Amino acid sequence: MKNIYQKIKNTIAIKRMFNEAKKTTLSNEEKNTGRENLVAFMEKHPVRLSKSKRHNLQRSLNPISNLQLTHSIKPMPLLLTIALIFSMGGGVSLAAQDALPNDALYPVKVGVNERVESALAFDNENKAEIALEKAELRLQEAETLAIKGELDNETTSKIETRFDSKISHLEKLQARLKAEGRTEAASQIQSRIEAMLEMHEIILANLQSQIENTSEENEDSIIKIKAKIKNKVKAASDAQDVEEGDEDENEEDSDDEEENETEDNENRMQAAASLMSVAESKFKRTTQFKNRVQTRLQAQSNEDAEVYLSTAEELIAEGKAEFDAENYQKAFLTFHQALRSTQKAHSLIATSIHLGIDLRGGLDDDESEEEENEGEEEQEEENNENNESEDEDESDENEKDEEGSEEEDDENKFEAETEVDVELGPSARLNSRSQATVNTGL
Amino acid sequence: MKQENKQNQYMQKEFLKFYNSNADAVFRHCYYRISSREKANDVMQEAFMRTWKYLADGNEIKNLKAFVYRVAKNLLIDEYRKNSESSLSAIQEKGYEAPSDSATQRIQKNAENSLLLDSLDKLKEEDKEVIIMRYIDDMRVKDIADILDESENVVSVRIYRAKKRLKKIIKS
Repeated sequence: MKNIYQKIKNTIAIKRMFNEAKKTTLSNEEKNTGRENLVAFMEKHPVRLSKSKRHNLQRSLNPISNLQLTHSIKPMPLLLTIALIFSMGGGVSLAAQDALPNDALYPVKVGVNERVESALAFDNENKAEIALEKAELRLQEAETLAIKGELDNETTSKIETRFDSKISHLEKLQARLKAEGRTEAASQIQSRIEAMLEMHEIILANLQSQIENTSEENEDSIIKIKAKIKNKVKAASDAQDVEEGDEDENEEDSDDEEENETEDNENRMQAAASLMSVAESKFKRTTQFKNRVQTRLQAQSNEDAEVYLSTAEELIAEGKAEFDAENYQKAFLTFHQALRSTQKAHSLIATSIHLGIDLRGGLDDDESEEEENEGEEEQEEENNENNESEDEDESDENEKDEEGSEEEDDENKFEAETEVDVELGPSARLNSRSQATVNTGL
Repeated sequence: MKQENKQNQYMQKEFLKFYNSNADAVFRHCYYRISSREKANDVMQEAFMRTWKYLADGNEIKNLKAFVYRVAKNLLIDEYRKNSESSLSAIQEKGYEAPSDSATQRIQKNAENSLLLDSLDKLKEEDKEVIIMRYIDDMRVKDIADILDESENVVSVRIYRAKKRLKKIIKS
């Protein structure tokens, strides 16, 4: 008798536990953020299919309504559930009737589903792309909070930790890519990380100057995150320098043998070629991305993104010319520049949309005192490269298929190239109307 | 081009509907699998993103919901692996996360809930997975079978054995 009471007690306890568990949901905020992230992701990865393939997609999506029906699964009556869990009698034999040989019970999951597996077998480059997007999302989340004035010390350190973990994940992936011998893939990711970080430094400076009447904590937090980004950028470029140094040494070692030299050249050509296609495809996709969100993009963000994109376009053309002239090393570097410029455009557009405010991309020369020194250093480097490449500019003009406002673009482009890395001060316009759209999703 | 845009928008809208009606469930599933709101949220988002990418690349998915769960399942395995890669950092992370629980999270971690989480934690992953799908996600055996790519029989047996083990754990 006692046993039965105990059993019933247990049953009730378990019932309550599962019931409680079913109440676990995302907060509205979490769900909305997830939704926005998903929208951003879908915009970056649009459906690009042939007609027949599009059919597949529709077929996959159309049953959604059915799915919702089948999957608003009727909860098994709870008492029955509990009874099933705890009854050692009838339930047992019923289930046992269906038992398969033991080995089938613990199947080695070899072929879960080959198709799915291959879909999920993202290679390291794909993984790095996603990790890059996630790292950027972390920053955008911080920026959203900053706009609302809700960035406190606790949240900031939390965001910092999450951001750090994304970055170290990225570093691991890069290391893996290198181990696989895919140095170009690792380096294109590196370029984009740096560009993304630099753009967010600019964006945070934007916010800093725009947000008024905010708590000290909020302001301090922005400064903290900005400093963090700056450190990362610096660490990254230092690491890059060391690596490049290493490569030079290797080259010297192998200079004696002619065979090695042709091999090196071959390698350089391949590296440049692969980077060329990456730069081109990123440029194309970012341009498409921009076109798609055009209506939601505000004036200044739009203009500055445009400048970054035209710069990238010119750089790509320039890199191609170098490539044709068999200056592979230089082509390689130029494609890197193009990638960086594209990434900046991308980050600017995505963040502007994400935050629902107008942002400056750091292209004009409003003075920002605290950043001046660093800016100068970088500017010098930037200028040197410009001088080297200026000769090519004119001949490449014909390749531009962008209509209209070429002159204006050119002016901007000059600015862009000389000022690309100069920190920008007060200028993002906090548009309260659009700010309200931050959390409404689409 | 214009038509493509339109098509794209339509697809996005449909997919968002799918997200709206399933995000909570996928999140809940992940939460009870890895007992961290933050990671569960991350995994949930990534699962939807990857599913979209798979679709956008022109592949057909017969059962969208099952697919998302499968992606989540694989991502969860990655998470476990990450955790076991350096258990020290896992501990640090857990130690770090503990004090930063949000208010709702604290409420949710009431006695019963944490008993369930603890008990689930003691189960083998395989058992945990089916128990969560069956009794927390309220899925039918057929749906679970779809997700695990197993026959309904195998799944039934697995559920049966898992709940036997869970019962033992809770009793002790």
